[in-house]
Amino acid sequence: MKNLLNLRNKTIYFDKYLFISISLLSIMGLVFLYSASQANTVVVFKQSIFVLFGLLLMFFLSQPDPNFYKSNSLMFFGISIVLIVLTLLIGKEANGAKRWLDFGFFTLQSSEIIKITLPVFLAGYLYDKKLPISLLNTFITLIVILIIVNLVRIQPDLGTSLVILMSGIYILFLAGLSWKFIGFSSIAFILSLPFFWNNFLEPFQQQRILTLLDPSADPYGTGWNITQSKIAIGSGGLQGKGYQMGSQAHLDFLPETETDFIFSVIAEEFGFIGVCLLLTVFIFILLRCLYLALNARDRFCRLTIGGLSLIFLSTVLINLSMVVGIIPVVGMPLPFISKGGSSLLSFYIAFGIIISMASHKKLMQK
Amino acid sequence: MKSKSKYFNWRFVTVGLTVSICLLVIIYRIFSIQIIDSTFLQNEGAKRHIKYKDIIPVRGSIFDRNNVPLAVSVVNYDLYALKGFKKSQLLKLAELIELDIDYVKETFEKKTLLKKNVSKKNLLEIKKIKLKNTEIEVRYSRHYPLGDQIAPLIGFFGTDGAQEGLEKSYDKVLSGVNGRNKYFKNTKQEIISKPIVVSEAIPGQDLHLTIDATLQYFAYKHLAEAIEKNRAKSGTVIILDNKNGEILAMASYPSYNPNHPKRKIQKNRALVDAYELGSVLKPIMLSKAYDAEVVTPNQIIDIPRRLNLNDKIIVDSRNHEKLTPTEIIAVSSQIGASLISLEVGYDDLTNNYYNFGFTKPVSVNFPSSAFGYMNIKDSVIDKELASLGYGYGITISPFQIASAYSVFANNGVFKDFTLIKDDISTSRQIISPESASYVLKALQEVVQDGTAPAANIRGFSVAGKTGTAHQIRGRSGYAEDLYIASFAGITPLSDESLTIFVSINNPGLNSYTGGAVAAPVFAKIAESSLNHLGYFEDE
Repeated sequence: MKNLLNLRNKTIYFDKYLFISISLLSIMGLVFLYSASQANTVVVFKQSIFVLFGLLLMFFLSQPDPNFYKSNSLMFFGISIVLIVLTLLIGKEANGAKRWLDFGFFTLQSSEIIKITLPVFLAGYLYDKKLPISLLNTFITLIVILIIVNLVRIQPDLGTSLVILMSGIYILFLAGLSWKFIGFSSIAFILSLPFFWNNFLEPFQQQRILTLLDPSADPYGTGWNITQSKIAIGSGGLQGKGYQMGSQAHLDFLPETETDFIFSVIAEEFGFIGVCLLLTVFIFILLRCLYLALNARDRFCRLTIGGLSLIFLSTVLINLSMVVGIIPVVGMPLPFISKGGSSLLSFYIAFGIIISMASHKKLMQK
Repeated sequence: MKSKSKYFNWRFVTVGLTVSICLLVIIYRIFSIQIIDSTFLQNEGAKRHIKYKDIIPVRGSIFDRNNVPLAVSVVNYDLYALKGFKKSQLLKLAELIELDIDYVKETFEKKTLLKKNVSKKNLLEIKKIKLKNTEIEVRYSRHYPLGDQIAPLIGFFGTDGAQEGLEKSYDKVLSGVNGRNKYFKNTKQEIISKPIVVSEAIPGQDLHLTIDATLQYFAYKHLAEAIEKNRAKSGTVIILDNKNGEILAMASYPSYNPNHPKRKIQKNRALVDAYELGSVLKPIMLSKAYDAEVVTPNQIIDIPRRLNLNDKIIVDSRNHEKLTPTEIIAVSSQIGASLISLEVGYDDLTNNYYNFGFTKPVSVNFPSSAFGYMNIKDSVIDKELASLGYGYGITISPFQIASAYSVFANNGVFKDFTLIKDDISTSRQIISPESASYVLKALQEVVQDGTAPAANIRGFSVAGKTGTAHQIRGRSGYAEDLYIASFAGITPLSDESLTIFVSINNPGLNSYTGGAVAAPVFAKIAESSLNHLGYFEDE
């Protein structure tokens, strides 16, 4: 099997497609970040350390057998919950949100960890349940998901909590949630939307959604981000303005160029051609994940690969939809490209687990 | 296992389809923003972060014929504090130079003038201490070395641009072409980049006049003195170089200091005013009479004691009885001029005036220059015809009459006098050379035995004519006590001669005639000018 490398009689578990494409994405990210941070070498240096560490982490996490993750999923999940609770109690506050645990050398965004451990835990819980999943199991799972989502939401971190909610639901869906249940709950969800609007969304979050519907109504207020982002993307045209030539980003018009809106910087400087190349890499990774999921050795692996790659996918889609103004600004990074410690590392972890699930296949088929 | 797998695949297909649709929507969205709306959004971006500012080039200077500067642009440096400038920095600055402001806040919030006209020495000192948030702006200011001597002609260029005179009429030439600087602005609309030159400024061109600064000085000085002495209201002097068709001096009084910020503008009376000049026109009428053979040199004309034309009684100050045509000019006989005018006839008289450039636009490019007015009628009665012959019923600007007199010095050739050195003076024969020399002889008699003995200059031959015109008062008629005293003279009577016209309005003392008020001014200016220009005495 080409996914195995034999080094000094020791088996190395590896997926070269994912490894190369993720490394490529990470390097592209560093290049983009250099421009987006206005040539700030400190930022880029810090980020490259994260990238190196992340790639190593991904490599090491792909070595253990999937059973290691299956049997320890509850423990990982438990640790993540402790971290979330700790964050709520002693977390570092910034911009009115308590999302970070300060370890001195590194601040951890605990919600990024639970984003990974929750699907693994749910996959471990659901993989051997009878199909379709019974109502009881569905409710147990949903309650677990909703507790976690709420813990993250009150930080408040709407973006991540949404991703966590989705990751849970993905697993449920892939594990075999009954179509009837899906139908009923969808109707219930739509009917309860006004209730959520009034009770769960902070005023600034409501404002973001309103702005989305008509950004031009308030171009200098809440619509500012979207307007500037669209101008940046649009000014890129087909070929872009050239590396480090994006006036929107470099003249401070574009907000959050290093994180949420880094895609706008890329689009302005590299144009539609550059955007297509970048999206090709993302799509390649997704197709590879789909392939790996379909060829996974068992239901647990398949569920885990599916769930984790859908989280990755959702993050990408939410970020892109946000910067092009399809959905409100929720604060979601572009994986492997945006500046950030925890979220960046969480994706290396996720792909480490994915590779582990995919590359251990053959051994288990004996 | 197989069925499970199928079951699973179904769900993966659902997910895959959903994902694909999402991706397609996003890609289409990116496409529509980047490709379809690209131009619009690019403009939107440019509107927000690009600012253009004009680069003002140095304004061209104005020189006289000998490169004496008449108007020059001086570079000034103004020191401004920009947003973010601190009081502490200001105090540091105040130790170096005296500032123009005394009251300040802790931190400046907008661009504020700290010191106007920073000296070069101070400028170096300021640059040395490298203060942040300051800007040194280059500003050009206009200076007029000759001040009031020539202000009504040159005009001035002030904070609102070119306001008057040649500064205004030659503004396009002098101002050059503005350049353009491009700046980048940040979100606060503050300029953050150094200027990027989009187009270079093209400096204005210099203007070289035919004016001679020294002659201008003589003209202005003697005019001003005469006006003060005679308690007159205003006046003007024009000096023309007959041979080259150039204007050597053009003075107007009262004047103003163009360098003063609160200047009170005075018009250029040589070009902007047009009025009835009276007897000064008699020689022009005579030139036509000669060419039309209405008069002959030796003809003796009977001058009645009084002449009654259409119930208007025309009298002379003295009873002359018999006069030759030239004597009529010399003593400035109204009756004699009337009699000749009636012989010349209306058509010939008016056509002759046209030929001399009256009521036609002048050759000089000057803002709101006057070209006079003549009452044109299908049928004219005798008294009107007569008065047209001795200088009423037609308004003429001082520059026009000076140009007309040069015809007698130029053998009957009319020249379009120029003010700009490289302009070419056009010319045309309007009266016969014989007529010109005949009239010139008459003009000589004026100075020798006629109304203007005061115009004589020792050593130089002079020809000229006085004029003492009643000023129009309101719409009704003439003011008995308000006069315009004028003298148009040519000297010396050689090839290269000058025409000098002097006009003084409202002399306030008992003497008010052209011979008494204007002729002496002519003599003084002519003498100084001829000596300055190095003419040889011809008498």
